[in-house]
Amino acid sequence: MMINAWDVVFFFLAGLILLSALGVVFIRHPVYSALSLLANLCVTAILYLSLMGAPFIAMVQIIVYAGAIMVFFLFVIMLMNLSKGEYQERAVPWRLLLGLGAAALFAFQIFILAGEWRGVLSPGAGGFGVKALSHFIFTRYILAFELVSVLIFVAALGAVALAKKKL
Amino acid sequence: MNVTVPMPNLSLVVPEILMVILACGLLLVDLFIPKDRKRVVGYIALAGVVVVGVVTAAFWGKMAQPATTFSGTFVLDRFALFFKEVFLFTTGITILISLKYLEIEKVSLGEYYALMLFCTLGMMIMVSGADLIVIYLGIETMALSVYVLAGFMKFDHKCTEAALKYFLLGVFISGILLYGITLIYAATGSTQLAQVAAVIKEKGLAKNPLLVLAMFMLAAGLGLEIAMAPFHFWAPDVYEGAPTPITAFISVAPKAAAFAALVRIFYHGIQLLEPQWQILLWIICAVTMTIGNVTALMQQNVKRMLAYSSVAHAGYILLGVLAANQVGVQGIAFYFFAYAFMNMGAFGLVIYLRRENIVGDDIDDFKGLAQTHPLLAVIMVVFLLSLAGIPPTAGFVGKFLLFAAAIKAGFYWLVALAALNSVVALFYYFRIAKAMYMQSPEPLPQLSPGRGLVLALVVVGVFTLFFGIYPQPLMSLAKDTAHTFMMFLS
Repeated sequence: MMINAWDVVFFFLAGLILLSALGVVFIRHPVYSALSLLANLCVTAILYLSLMGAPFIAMVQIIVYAGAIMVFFLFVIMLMNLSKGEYQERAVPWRLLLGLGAAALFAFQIFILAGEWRGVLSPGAGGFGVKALSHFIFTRYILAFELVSVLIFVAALGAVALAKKKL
Repeated sequence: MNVTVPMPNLSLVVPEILMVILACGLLLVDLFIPKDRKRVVGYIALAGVVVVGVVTAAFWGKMAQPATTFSGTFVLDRFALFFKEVFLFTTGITILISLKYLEIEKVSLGEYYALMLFCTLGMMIMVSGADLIVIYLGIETMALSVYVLAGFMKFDHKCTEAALKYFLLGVFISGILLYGITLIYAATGSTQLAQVAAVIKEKGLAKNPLLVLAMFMLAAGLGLEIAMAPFHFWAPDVYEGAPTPITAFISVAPKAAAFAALVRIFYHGIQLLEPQWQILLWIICAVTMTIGNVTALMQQNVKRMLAYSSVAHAGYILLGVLAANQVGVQGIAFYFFAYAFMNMGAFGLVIYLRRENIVGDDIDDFKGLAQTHPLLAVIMVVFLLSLAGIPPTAGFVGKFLLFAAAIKAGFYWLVALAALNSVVALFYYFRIAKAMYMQSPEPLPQLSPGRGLVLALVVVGVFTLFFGIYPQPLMSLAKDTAHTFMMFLS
């Protein structure tokens, strides 16, 4: 198997993603753990940008996940106001085992994928910008697009029903 | 760039569009109805479901050939139509048995009915999805509504605990399912079932490790709603904690939807992986049947017992999936209608026994029912006979079809195991019958069922017997379903 520059980039980014994901699981301090998640999301965005040529998705990834959802996470951590004792108590090897298992599975998949991923994600081939994306969403995947709105509506409805004070 | 936007054929999604309008309309109507008259919302929902059912049935004649729309991401065939009728029937019965129950539990939120309709919508999308993305969105729409419905009595600790467990497990499994879809995309470059099948054939990917891994993940993702081992642990807790009408609903409709999606993905998308998924399903089928039946033996709570029994039934239905022949699909289709009748009926009876302060789900609550309410006891026996698969009930015909399909496909050992399991099942179903007929009643407050519940019980009871004695009409519908569905493969 020939190793070219794209492979090097891919494996480097994939390694970073994996590392930061493990960080989310293993770092005990909740805020650092959340920051590790942030790193994970950003590196994924770089992967989109560099290998898939999809700048729009990369930007959305950063704005939505790293921006909105991370702030939400940090808010929750702040509201819970954990003291040091509460998050340092656990010493169960379960997490380690599960995390390593997941990592092994992922490594196995990278191994298999390495031979085949080029066929699907063609780096730099024409790119995948806003125009191409919107073309896909509003023609071929219009049904899925409309369904997402129903799904979000159901989620909101359910949240309201659960949050009401009376039955 | 000039983009031509093709106008999709909207006539095929009329039932779904009607369902969305109905559910949203219900939310608006709910605002104008005072708290003590919320029953009206239920009536409107029921009328709407009947209308959608009739509209859906009207497609049957036209759909001798499958039709696709939305660039092939949505397919309407008789298989989809048949299952949509199962969902609509189940939803209708659930609304009927909910009317009085909600008043006893003092639930007066109209959102209950709207969520149930959205859930039905999600399932209707699931069976019609010809693209993994659309199927996934259907699953999520269904699942989100079910999580909320399962935890609707939020001041009841058991209920909220059940809903939270269901939610956490569901979200986790949903991630696995998505991962499976990603792997399929990685291997074939498409999420559309027809294209996936074409690429697998063209490139000879039948033994591709990525696809095999994806197959495992898809089976796991759908296996949660099916409640097949090893993803059945949530079932007893959720069935026990959720409001009983919702338990009845969860035990039938989402299971049917997940089975339909599984059959469509496995038969139309990755059918060339059949040697692999047959091994997987063989093991799951054997384990699911046995675990369900053996664990059900030990239950004292009727809702938990029926939960394990529904796990066992998932095992029987997997026989039909494994067989991968026309009789198998016919059996699955028939069985789900039969299963809807008998399971809704059995849970309906548990609701019937709901009195002030008594949930009615302990086996002791059935004591001496034959003396106090002889007719009710007879109906319950009919449901139990059907669940156990004894003639002359619909459950027998369904089980017969499934077993016949599996024998035709050469799964003799598995059918032998299933037959053994049916004997075990007899034992625990008849514990309820024993409590009703052989034990004397305890002094308990009067039963006060609603008219909706009585109507629902009569309907499912009559259907259970009718289609057991004269199964021909439903059998031929199921046969047409299987025929058009399997045409794809040849």
